[in-house]
Amino acid sequence: MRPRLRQLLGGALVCFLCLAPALLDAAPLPPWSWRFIAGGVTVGPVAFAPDGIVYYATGDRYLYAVDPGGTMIWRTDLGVRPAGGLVVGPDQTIYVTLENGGLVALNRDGRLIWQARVTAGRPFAPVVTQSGLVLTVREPATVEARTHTGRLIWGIDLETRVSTAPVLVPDGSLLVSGTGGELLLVSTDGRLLGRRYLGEVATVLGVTGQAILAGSADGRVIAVDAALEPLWRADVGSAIHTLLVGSRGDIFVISDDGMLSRITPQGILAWRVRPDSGSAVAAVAVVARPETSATPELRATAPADLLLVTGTGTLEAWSREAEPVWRVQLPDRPVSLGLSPAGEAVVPTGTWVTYAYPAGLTPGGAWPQARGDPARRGVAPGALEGRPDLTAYERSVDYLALRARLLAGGQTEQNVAMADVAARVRAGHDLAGRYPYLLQLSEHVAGSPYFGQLSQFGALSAPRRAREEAIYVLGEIGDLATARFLARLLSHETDATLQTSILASMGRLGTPIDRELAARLANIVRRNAREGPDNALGHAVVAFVESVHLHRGGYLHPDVAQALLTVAQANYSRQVREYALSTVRLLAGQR
Amino acid sequence: MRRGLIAVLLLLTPFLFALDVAEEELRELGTRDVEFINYTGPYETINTIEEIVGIGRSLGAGVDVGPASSDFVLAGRYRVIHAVDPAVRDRFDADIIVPLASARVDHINNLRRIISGFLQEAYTYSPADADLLARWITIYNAVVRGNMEFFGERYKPVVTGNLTAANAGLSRRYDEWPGQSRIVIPLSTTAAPGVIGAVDPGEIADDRVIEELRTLDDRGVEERREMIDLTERVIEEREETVAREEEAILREEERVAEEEARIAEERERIAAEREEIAALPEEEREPAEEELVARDEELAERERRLEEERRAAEERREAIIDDRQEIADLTDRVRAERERIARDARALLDEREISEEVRGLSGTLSPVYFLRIRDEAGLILGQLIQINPVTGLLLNRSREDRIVSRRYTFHAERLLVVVADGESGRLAHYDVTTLAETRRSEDEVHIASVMEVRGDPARVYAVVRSAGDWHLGRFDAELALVDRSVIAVNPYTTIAFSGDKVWVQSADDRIVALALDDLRIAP
Repeated sequence: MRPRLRQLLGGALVCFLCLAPALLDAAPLPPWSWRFIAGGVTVGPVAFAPDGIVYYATGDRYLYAVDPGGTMIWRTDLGVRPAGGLVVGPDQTIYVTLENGGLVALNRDGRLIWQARVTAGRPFAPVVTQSGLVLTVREPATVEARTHTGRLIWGIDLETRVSTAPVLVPDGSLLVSGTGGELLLVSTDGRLLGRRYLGEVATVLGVTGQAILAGSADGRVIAVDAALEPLWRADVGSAIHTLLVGSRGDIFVISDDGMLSRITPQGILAWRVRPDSGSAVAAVAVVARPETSATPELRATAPADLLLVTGTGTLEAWSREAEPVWRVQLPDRPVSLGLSPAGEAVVPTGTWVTYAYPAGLTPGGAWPQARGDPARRGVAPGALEGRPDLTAYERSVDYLALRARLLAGGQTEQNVAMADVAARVRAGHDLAGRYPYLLQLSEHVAGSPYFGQLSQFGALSAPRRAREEAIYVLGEIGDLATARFLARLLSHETDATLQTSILASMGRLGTPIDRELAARLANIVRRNAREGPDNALGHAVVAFVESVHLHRGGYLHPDVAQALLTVAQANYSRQVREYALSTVRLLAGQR
Repeated sequence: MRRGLIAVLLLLTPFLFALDVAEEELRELGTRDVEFINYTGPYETINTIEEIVGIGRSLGAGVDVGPASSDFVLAGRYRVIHAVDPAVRDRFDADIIVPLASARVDHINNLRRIISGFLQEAYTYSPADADLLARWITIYNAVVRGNMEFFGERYKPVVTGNLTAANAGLSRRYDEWPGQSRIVIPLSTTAAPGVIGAVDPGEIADDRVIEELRTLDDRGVEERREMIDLTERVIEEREETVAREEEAILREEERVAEEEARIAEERERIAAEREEIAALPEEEREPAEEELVARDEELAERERRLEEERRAAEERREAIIDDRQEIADLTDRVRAERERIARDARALLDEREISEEVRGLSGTLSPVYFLRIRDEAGLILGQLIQINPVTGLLLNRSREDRIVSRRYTFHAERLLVVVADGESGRLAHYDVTTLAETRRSEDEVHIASVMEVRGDPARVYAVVRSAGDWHLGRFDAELALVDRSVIAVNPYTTIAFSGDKVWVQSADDRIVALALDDLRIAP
């Protein structure tokens, strides 16, 4: 090749490489998939339901639900300004914190299930476990637990003012930070497991598979292990307000100076940068795995690890090496960022408009930033699911005594012991340190004729009275697993009185009705109507359906509607029949 | 090497700037102000912005904004009246800013700076909040200008006593400010320095003011959002005040209850002592009884005071109920306004999208063109606007708003009108999609001239000035004058066509026919 031509081509290549970012900038702007205008600025994060519905609360005191096409499905008047906490629970209950210290639980239709004043001031975002337990902080220093039905189960005074929203750690316990510069671990049954003085006040908490992380007001990320023993510290130079864990264990941190930093799992500060525009990073979302955007308009040239929005109104995808992969200029200044299950970047802005861009990236990273991500329901990676091992209570006199009386005692002892448990629940006793075993022992007693042989304590038989008390207890303090247990129990139970009790408890817990349960309800009603209707049972069926409608919203199974119509047409009392008809109208949206 | 590099750079330059151009195009709809007529001539002296704000600050520093009325005049040019009357409860107090006859403020922006400076100094508003309130205050006063019935309903007599139908509110003309306008600033019941809600946001964001803002291009959406933010802060402030007051009342009630309990105990002790005294000998009984009577009287006095304190606490509780109701009403208004803003914002975004679609609209769905007029001191001026025929929404409007013709017509695939150009008129073409002016005639046409389009190729016929007289002119597609009549015509003449002739009214008011081909008297 001639030298001169070589020079020309070399110059062109150099120019091209220098100008490549500008060429990227010159890519045609992809249109947003949708945009929606609310009546106020978004407060707090954007959350998603498994089917892609977007939830966000705004300054006009509404919680909005917008479908994946950008059409509002519903909005619920919160009455009070939202405080920025928004979590979607494992049963799709939506929890929203309010500025007056309140917490509301809404079903997927936006209807209020329950509300509680959880603190005096502005509450932290709640933590919702896989079993539906809702953990909140009551200022200054108390952690409280409620069931998914709003029933207060326990509270523990940590004797230190809480500094930031708690998080769940891999072993299922709750990590709390105090304004005295310490970290505390609390079990989900309300016991203090450990305390470690860090020397710095945590402003944000996070977890990886191997470590517990605290971002501090002094600009450091501190990692400790499950026993709160220190692992490493990394300095990012400015107070930290956001901490996310990436899909490969990297830790991404936004500090008050607007810089974004990446820290390796080993605690090495890999980089600390500001976007090319020079503006601050406003929010970040983590991608499930490094993947190239599937959207052709964006002309992505490399896989992206994270998505971010900046103060100058750009939406950018970056690799983990801080290289911009693509960039979009937003119409307005962003206030938040969410990555939907459908791979859309949902960006609320300061002009009350929320835009959704087809980013073509799958949301990921480690909890807790994936609250609302259907893949992670609020439970840390590796966290326990199902019932905890009760051997942890082998030193509890109360547990040992109850276990002996309920599972190995005679019928009288069982009745008395179960009545004692029920009395505690009726009186609203604090169940800290007791909740798991009270629940499990009650399940053993309630399910004794059918599930007794499955018990580790051998075949169990309990009298009816004890079983009724146990079923009552389960309905009062049960979690989501209890709801499933009661549904299984109903599928076995043939006694009408006990069926009535089970239905009442299932109704209190908002047990979801699947096909099997719907068929079971229909069978129960048909058989009961045939054998001489029991008004209490008929009423219990209708009441159960009504309460589930409150809890779950949405459309219920046709078998359920048939069961109600059977009640309405059978020989039940007029009151029961009218109740059934009005509930049918309720389901049909006519009431 | 260098030449190659430069060549590549040159080739790539257009791409480097393309995005900037696209960004410019995105920001097409600016925010125009509500119509105020300002002085536009030369200035003898020019004040800095700080100096102008300083006028307002001086007013704010000079007047006493306490619980009693006061008055302050600054350098004989500006006056502020702090009109308050605590005895009247159900209407507004006000600060009234008066540009006196010798005041020289002649631009609405400067008037707003003065008001802003006043609010910053008198009530310690932040500059941003003060600027926002100043804008709304001027619009509010313009909307209710001269409406004494309005002022009478809303304001206390101590305020309306300083207003007349001739000077209440703010004229939209700068030359009617000095000595002829009084700018009323409504004060809330909690008005005091440091209180965000000192100027009542609910009053200055009256529905009439909002409707005025909604006539703007951008429907005043941004302004209204800012006012919503301010009002929310006012609501928060009031809620905190009410909460503190409730706490204080509760403590007071508890104290009263404790005192009542102590009094009751004391009474029991007195009763017991009275029984003991009855058993004493007479000479000892009397002084003891006197002492008991004295103590009884003291207790009665304490009980009387307690009763007053209890009543005072009850009154404070009732006042809180009223306060809470006011807060709830304001909250409801804020929420309703949020809904309206969201609707307007959606409509604006829809309009932008629709105007993109207008470029490809078929004939049956073409936008409606309209000449929206206004009366400016007897002169009728117009502006071209474009309306979506399906939704009725305003799509676009021309920047030019001094169109003097009473109709538009189409010529050379453009809209044709006569625009005012100083004292004279000009023919002007406007793009049918963007309403941007594309061409203007160099020759002067009469501002009242009719326009007719005739012929193939299409020519425009209008009354044009030539050699000091008015003549019938013929213009081509470039709006260049290609021919004119020999005879002078009446500038208000009709132009009528018949066959190969055109009929006009001559300068001496004869109706004459001109030949179309040469515009001379037809044979």
